[in-house]
Amino acid sequence: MTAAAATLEVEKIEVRFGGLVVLAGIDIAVDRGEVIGLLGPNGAGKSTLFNVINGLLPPHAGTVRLGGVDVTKAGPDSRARRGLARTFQNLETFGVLTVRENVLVAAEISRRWSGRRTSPSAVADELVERVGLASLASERADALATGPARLLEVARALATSPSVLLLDEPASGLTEHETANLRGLLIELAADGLSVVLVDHNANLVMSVSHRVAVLHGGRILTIATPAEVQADRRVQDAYLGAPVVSA
Amino acid sequence: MDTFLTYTVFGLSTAAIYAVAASGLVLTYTTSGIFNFAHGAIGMFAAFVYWQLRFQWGWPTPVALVVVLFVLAPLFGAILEVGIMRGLEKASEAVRVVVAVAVLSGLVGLALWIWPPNTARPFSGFYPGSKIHIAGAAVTAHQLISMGCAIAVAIGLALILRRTRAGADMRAVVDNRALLVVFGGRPDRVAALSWAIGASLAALAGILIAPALQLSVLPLTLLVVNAYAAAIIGRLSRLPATFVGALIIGLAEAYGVGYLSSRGGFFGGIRPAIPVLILFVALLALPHARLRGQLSRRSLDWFPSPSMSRAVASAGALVVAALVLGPHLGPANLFTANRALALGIVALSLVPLVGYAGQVALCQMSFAGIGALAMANTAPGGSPLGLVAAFVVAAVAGAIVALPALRLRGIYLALATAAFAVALDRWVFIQDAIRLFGRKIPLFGIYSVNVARPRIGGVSFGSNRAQLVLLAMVFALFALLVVAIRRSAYGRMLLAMRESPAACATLGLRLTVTKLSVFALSAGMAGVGGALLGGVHTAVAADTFSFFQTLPVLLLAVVGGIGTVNGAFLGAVLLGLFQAVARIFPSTNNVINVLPGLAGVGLARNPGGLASDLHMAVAGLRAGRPRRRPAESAEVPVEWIGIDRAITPADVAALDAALGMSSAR
Repeated sequence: MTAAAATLEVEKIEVRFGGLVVLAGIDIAVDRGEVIGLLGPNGAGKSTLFNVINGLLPPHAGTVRLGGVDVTKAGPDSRARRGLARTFQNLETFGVLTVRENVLVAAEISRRWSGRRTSPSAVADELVERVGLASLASERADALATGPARLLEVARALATSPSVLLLDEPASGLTEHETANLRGLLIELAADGLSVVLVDHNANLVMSVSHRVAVLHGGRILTIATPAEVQADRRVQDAYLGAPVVSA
Repeated sequence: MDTFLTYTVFGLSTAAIYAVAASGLVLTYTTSGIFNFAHGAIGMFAAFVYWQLRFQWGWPTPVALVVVLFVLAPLFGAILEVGIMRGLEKASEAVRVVVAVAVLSGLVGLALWIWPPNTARPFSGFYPGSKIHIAGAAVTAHQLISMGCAIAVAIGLALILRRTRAGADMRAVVDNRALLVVFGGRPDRVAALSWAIGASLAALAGILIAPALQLSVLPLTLLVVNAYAAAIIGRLSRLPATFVGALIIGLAEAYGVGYLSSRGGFFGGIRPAIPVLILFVALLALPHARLRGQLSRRSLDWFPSPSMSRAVASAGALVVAALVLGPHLGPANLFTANRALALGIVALSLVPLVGYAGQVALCQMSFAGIGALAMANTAPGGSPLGLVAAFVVAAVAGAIVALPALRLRGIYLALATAAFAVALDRWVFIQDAIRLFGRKIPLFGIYSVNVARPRIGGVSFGSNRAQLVLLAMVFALFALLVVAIRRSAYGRMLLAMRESPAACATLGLRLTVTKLSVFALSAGMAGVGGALLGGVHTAVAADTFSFFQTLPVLLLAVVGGIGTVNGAFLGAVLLGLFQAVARIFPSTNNVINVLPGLAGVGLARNPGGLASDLHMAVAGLRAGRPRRRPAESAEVPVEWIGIDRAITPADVAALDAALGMSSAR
């Protein structure tokens, strides 16, 4: 886990909203092909951390590096061009476009900046199929139920051929079958070298696909370890059961 | 020193009136989230009603005042909120802006109808002739009353907001509407109340300002645009800052009158534009809105992607129709059709900008005017290069306007573009000429400018019939261009940007470049429309391209269906029909001035526009049954996210099985 090999490094990130400290010094480094699960109760700051990594929210302190390059000052578009993609917990699909068009436009946008020669149309067809939305390809995105819409966000993010993918609750609203498919897809993608940070309330999913799991509580990382170690950790159990937190 | 004092007093009294108007605007915006573009029009209308009661029917001043300020205006405000604005809670920001613009347009039409503009209506201030002297400066009673009103409004609003239950609810609804409901508040009632107070304040401002301006519809309506600047300085939320803003604008305007009006030259004419320039600057000084997520929602907005072959067939049919119909139309009908098609080209230019990209701009006719000037100045003989120049010059102007406006969204963008349009109207277009890069470029001045009808490749389009064919060809070409855009990667990017700028940025899209390009493209198309409109009229004056001329074009394009080429065409047809009907039955002229407004208000119920309705009807006929748009699904409790259908007995059985409960006892 040396910093040099990490595709995404987050150092000492602090975010305050008014007087409320949401993130109080977060450090995470994600290696190539590594899946890091991020657990934490509601309000722990998981989505805020994603917004900081992705450039939608400037942190009060700290650094974000992608592939070793400091991008703390860069906008979300520049970060995307360095290989970062994400999904949104509050869905941000392009409602008036069809499912296929949603993925297609992502491939088209990324083709402009990446100079890749692959046909956006082929990329779109392949990804729509891969996340299991082929039967809904010509539906308008705003007609989708939550589960398929989340899968669509995953496909759209993948259409930019990212090296780091942030997934914000991709499995909420998914059926068991869909969740199993998503699990398979994540394992495949990681094997292909994609780094993933996964936030989800489905602990089974997080524990089964993550190489390491970080537990966020009260704006800090309580622990970061293998799934088995985390499950055995007393402090994690306390945090989830609402017992007073032993200082980490 | 005395003159300085006099101008200061004058400035303070106008500032007081702007403060009254602006505080009403801020109140309604904070409590309902809808920027009331019609605020000025309400003030104008109230001033007319007051004039009717007080001067025409001779009612005593206090009675007339009480009836207007405490009965009619609040009633109108509350009805507006309950009847129209409340339905917009879930509408896109573009629809909200357009509906408010429609109310403005409707009120203007109605006022022109009830009080025809060519009559003098003396409107004296309170206690005419009486004045007092303070430190050598004369202060009229009316000015004192204006300042007193502002102070009273400031104190009154502070008391209402801080000391009453309704005021506490108003402040609460700003913070969290849902939470207010939980605590037993009535956000709907709060919104209606604040709109009632807002309308009353607009009315007060209208009545106070009318004596200084004469009683005329358009200046009164626009005057409160000046108050918008004050509201923006207050960032649409802070009343004290709003009052400071009003002070800045009132004084700047007064000193402008005192010290600028005597100077000649280009900048000598800047005075009437000072408030809108301040508005523009204030908008630019707003803190950069953070890109943030906006929950995707189901919308009825409609952006079909027609096949190219079908589009070519329709475009061809339009040109053939022009060739066939032309010889059968009389000169008056030909003129009407030509004018409607030229305006239709301007409406078409709104489809990529307002429709696809979701950027509401209120200065499209200004770009058309720039196009007409470019044509007049570069191609007095009607060379087609003039049309190219019209496109290029207007596109450059579009990019220049867009550059500062890029960081603005929704109402802020609409306001900035309105400020640009009004600044052109009041300051630039009416100049005789402008010097740019050492060249003298003639502008409209106070008369009109001749615009040649094009001659293309030796073919003259000089006659009205030939004009019809030319306009149909240009419309058809642009329509094909717009369809091609919809089908292209660029078109998908525009729609994606409209739906979620944040998601687009996270895909690596440079929003700035994309917005700039669509502004330039749209302005260029409008420029060509303007050049051709100039040719239709052969001589055009600045008021053909004023801010107020943009409104019906925008409204009818949106009513036709802003997401489609067909919608723009329907908009043009409506414009033409309205005009034709008004010509044949002159008595209907007034009704027709109100129609775009009424139609726009109807949008609140159907943002897809007529084109979408027609499409559904035709599709239904083909299928042998009426087809309906899918109804919006009912709101689903949060626990059920992911389930958006009713639970069936099968589901119940499955749930029971999962929970180990037997449903068959």
